[in-house]
Amino acid sequence: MKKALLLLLALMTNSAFATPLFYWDNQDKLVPAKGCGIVEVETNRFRFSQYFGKKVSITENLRNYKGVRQSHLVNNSLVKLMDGKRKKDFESMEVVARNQLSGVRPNRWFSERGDKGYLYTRSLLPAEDYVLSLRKGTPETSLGDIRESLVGTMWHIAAEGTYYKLVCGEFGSQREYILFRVYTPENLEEPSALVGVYWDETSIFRSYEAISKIQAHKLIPTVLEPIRVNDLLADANSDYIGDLTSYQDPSEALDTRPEAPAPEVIEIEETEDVEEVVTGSVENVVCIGTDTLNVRDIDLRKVLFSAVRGEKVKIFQSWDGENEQVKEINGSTYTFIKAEFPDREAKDETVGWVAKSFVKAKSDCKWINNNTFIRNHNATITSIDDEDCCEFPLVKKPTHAYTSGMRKFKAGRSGGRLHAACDLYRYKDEPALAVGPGVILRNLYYFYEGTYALEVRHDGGFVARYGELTGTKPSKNIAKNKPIRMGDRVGYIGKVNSNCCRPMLHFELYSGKLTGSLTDRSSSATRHQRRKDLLDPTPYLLKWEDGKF
Amino acid sequence: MKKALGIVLIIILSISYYYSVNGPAEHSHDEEADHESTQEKTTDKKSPFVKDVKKSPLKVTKAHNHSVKKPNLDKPVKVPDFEPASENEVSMLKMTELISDTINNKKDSKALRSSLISLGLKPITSVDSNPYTGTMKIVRTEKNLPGTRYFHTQIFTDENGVETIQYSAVDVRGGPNAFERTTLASAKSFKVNAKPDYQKPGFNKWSLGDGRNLWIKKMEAKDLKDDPFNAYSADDVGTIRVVVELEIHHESDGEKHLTPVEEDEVTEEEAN
Repeated sequence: MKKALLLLLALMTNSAFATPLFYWDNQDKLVPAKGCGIVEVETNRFRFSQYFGKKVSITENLRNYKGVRQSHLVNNSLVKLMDGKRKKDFESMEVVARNQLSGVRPNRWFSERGDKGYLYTRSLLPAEDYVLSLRKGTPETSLGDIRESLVGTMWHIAAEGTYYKLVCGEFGSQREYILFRVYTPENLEEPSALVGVYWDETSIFRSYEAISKIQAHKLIPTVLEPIRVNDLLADANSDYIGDLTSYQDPSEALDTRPEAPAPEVIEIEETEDVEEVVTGSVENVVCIGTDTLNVRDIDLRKVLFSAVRGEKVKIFQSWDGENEQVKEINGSTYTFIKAEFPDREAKDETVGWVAKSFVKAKSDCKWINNNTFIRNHNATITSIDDEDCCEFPLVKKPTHAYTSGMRKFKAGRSGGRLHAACDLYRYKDEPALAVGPGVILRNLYYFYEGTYALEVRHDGGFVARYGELTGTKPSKNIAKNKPIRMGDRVGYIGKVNSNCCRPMLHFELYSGKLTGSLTDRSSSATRHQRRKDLLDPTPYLLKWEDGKF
Repeated sequence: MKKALGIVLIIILSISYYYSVNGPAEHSHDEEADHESTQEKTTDKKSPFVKDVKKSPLKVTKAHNHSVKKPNLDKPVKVPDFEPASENEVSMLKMTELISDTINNKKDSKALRSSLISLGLKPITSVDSNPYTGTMKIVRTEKNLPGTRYFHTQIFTDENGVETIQYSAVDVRGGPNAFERTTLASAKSFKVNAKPDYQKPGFNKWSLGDGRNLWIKKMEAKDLKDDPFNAYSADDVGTIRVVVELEIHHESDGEKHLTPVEEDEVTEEEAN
């Protein structure tokens, strides 16, 4: 009844909200919520973590389904409930971001954004119990006309015995944009904006400090007061909210927004020797002179969402070999291909059809600044033998010694080959860490039986290959030419398809004196079938492990 | 009496153990036929110490042997017969034969490209170079034969410009019997036995004898989810992947005899 009343009020008065209304999109950032309405919802997925037990602790254990501790989650970290295997007394969840608690220095064992697992039910507190104060590291964007930066703003979920969500024309009720009140330091008396945040697109909250609402009340007098949505339905001058009669069912819309102008057609004479050679990474991106590219549905009639310039794209091949569609839009003819946008957090905005001419290899895109090489300006290591070098590449001690058995360097392999690495046994999906600062030379590539490897040149000149990783990247910063710091997550431990071996990090080390490919089967290669500057990692790993665990 | 019987039993067991561990040496397969009759004689020979020795009822387990089991290249291989039953299977056979031909004939990227063009697939070669770990070429195709897709080959180049194919694969469309049919087609293309050297549900693997393995897997959601190169949707679970790659581990590497690691289970105190 109350729900209907709210909608009716909006319709009858054709009123708009005095307080500006937005919703958050990871790609488009803050989007004015035009054509949206507000409805009540009983629950939402957001929670805050808190240690529950007899001891005093600043962290709570994040566990896997079997109960094994995966990492330590700092208290009052924002998490979201996920649909997973049910486990008695525990909830499946994913970490939205770690609380940047003052005075706490994070270490390798702390949970990070994107970590998944199970938390004890009683360690989960309602979202309205805390206020999020956004910190440096928050996506750079303005709060409409109100403020240039979101850093320093304080966000509190709108709750009045119920929560509120935005219902927007483009997404209908498929997406749950839960409303947050946003306060600026310049005006803590009342919310400067209302922002809907979808649980599957939360990059807005990647850097914050959580403050209990009791403490926040000293700064924000109204934080303990329930939000009065009716009060916000006052000013008809604001144009942020459209009449709900303008709400359209997404399936009916025929989007005639124009595509970018058709590129100049150049006829290429096809010869037998036609080959496309791309210099650089095989990774494809959205390559367009404007900021965004329309992504359409299978019929190419409706625009599903917008992809941004430089966004990673994977191109589908269909089983019947028919990979393209041709369509005329506004007098221009376009060839469309089906694409996946893998770096998107939201699961419902990852696949669609785009104009083929605007998808290119990253290295071939003139609209993107391709740094050929980036130096880590924070380098403090001058060689692998430095006193400060380096970090052990796992978060915990290996389960078995890497100095013996088939795990050790130089252990015998088939055909007379010798083992070129130390195998560090741990558990699947545990983080693998960069041993030192450096630059990623080669991003994840197929390595062995369903696992992957990447190559890093570390400061001081030595090179490491981190092998038998999963395909999951800890962040977008794990990419070719990106710098990494000592202890940064480079990936997650994988497990090969056969039952030969436990999950492990296959760690190879090279002095860096040579420059060819690391795998070398030529007659001049070592018996390990590797480049000749291959090092035995054992003494270094022992040194880096000493005193760590 | 009991004591005497006990002593006799100990002696019998000791002798049985002695002969089981230090039995006739293993012969290579070439010698097997010649030595068969000798072996039979040896095992029938009575112990000089105890007459009328009964066979020990105990099984004697040999000490764990870390030596790698080499692929039995000398045994004749029974390559299965495979006739494609559909257009998709024709494609599957063509692609597996292409990979096999490329590997066996040590083709370089240029020759591989020609092979792909001859099939009507438009090759795309990405050259990923850096000054520290050299060049990796990735050969994919813009077009694909029906029933197959995402051909992908990784080629490393050493300092002298010599190319090594480190990985080559193709996806085959899933479906009823797709895994079994792909297994047969691949065995035919790579001229290996239909029965793989290693198998578990949804995964078959053969050692090709040149430091490379062939494996076929029925892909699960977790396999497809974070693939850095290929686009997938939920409908693609069950896709069959055929891969030839350089070996890193052998089946004996994992040391299954290692004692299980105790995981830190949740105690009641911790849970509460």
